Amino acid sequence: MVPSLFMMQRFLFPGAIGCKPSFILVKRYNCSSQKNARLQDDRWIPTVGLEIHAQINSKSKLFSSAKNQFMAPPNSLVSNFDASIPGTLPVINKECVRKAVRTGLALNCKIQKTSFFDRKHYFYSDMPQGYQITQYKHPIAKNGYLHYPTADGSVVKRVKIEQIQLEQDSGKSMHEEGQVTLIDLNRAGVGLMEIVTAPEVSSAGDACAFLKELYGILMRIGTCNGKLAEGQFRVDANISIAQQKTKLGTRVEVKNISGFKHIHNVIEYEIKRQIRIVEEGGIVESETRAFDYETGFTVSMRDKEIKQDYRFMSEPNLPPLHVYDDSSVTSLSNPSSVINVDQERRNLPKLPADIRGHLIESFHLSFVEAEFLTNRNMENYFIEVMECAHNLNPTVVWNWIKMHVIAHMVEYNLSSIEECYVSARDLAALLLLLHNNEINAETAYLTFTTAIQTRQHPDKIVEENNWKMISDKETVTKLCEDAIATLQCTDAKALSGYDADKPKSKASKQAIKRVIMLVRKNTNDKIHTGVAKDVTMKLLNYKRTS
Amino acid sequence: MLHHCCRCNWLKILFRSNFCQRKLSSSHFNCRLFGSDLVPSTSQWIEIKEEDLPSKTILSLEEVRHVENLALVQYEDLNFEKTILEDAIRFADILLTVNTDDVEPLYTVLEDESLYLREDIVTEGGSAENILKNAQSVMEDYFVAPPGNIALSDSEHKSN
Repeated sequence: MVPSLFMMQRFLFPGAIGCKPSFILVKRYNCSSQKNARLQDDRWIPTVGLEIHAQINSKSKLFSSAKNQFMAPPNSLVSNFDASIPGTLPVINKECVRKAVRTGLALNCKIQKTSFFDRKHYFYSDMPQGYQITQYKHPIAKNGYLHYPTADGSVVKRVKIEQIQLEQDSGKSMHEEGQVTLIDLNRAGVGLMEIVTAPEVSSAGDACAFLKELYGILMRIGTCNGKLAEGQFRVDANISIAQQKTKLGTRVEVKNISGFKHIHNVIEYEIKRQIRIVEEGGIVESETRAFDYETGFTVSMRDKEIKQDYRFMSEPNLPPLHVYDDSSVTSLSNPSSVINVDQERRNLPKLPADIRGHLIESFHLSFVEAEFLTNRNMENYFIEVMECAHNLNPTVVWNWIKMHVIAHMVEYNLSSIEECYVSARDLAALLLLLHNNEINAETAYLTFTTAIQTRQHPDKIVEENNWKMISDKETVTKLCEDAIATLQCTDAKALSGYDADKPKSKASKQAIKRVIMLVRKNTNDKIHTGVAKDVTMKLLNYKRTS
Repeated sequence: MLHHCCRCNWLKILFRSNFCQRKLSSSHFNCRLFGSDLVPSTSQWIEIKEEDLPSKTILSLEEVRHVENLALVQYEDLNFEKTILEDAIRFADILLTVNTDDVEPLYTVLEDESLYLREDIVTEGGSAENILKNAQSVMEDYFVAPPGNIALSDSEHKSN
């Protein structure tokens, strides 16, 4: 079930005195977070359009079969085609096409049965051909959308995805003290999916929320590895401000931002900068700016004289790219040699929004809790624990996973929950013991760490170590009664401080503590202190009244 | 006798018939050696009158400089270059006399072909030495290039 697209608000129709209040659907433009509230100057409406370059998770590059790998000796993963040696031709990678189709389906796009490739010309040392092969006019996917949660899931917004296109990445250039540039072509030719949104995002917070959701989806469907440090997910932001919602101001492009925090800072800074310019009476120039990570400013990049003209032309070496569906694939002699869109649609896994929805609905987790599990691919682990032990409190399970399971994974350097030393079933058993008060919190933690070290079942560990606590009401009541009786004989003052009307006062707590201490001593610390406390309080209350 | 078949561009020895037989993919083409309906037998020349063409495109020196920058060339005499460019554009203006209403643009002569998808296996690359073989300047296995586009310095945001 897709959460409500708009905020439902109650309004009285203007001028409708005495009318019954009606519900009107109101589209919320501004995120309610405090950060944006500070920034927001209500006269200026910012508009942000995003272009995301996501490196495709494939073994070889898009048009050459050189290896796609981040760390490697310079120029060691370069084929003749990547180096633009004459006499070479592009040969497209089927896996890249499949991943682009998959992404398109996950973003609700219409997959184009036929798409074409174009050349985008510009000169730069890290692009030996002098042009980039991209899909300008007829991309592989068009007209999608994405619903993304903001404000901790309470507001769901929507952005139109204009298109998704396949294109080549460029090489890497390192500038050496203004003297020379060193070029490494290992990355040249790696497949990218360029995801272009409509200019509909209206704040830095929203942009980040959208990007996080997109990122989660790409990771979930496995089309991008999302290693931000390796530049696998880069964002270009097109930012403009206007006084009316319907108009769009001059846009400024900031390229190649990597990292969610940086994206937030860039967009915020740029909006502020543009507002400042127009309020001082100036005009915002249409240009491309770079982001300076150290200062947090955007700085002008291109020389103002040269306006880029990419001279798009069709790529003459590549025939049209066809993808098929169930009906058209039957006429082919070799169906496995092509991409079947219907098959890819069937193979799509559950997307983060659906998983979160399921967790929230079935287990009454909060949005933040559901998001936590989904982002780490731990939802199945959690669900399995809950299925093994239905009575458990989901929040307790979640807390345990968040604190102890994650700590364990970090310590043992495990990358996925499947590698966890404590299986979901075992954790369920452990938490059930805790739930039934057969062990207390301390012992539970001990059992957990022991389970990690010995890989034994928690029940067995508790039994072997004799950690089971006395917690059944009858026994506990008897023990407490005995303890109270003993204290009244030996040290009556100990219990005198107890005040039934103020059970939380220092004196009362002290009294209870004395009782518990004695019971612990008598039972060799086997008493479940939590249960004992409750019982003691009841008994003392009863004692007072009697 | 060797004759050049104008249709299928093959040199064929003329045997008994006037036909050259050559299998092209799955179909069998029978070309007539000399002349077909599509290729005229004598040269044809159609005169295009100056008045039929739209007005000549005049470039400003700014634009000529812009084209120079885009093409990474530089001539010494800007005015001469301007004349050459304008004449070249004029020559191409002949194309504008052709009526292309309702005609789909041809993007590639391979439009009836389908792009072949290769399997995602690594088979190339691996030798930096090979790739760098022809480079004019190499430094520690990197290509050396002149300094590229670097962001303008702090002077801009110092004033902010």
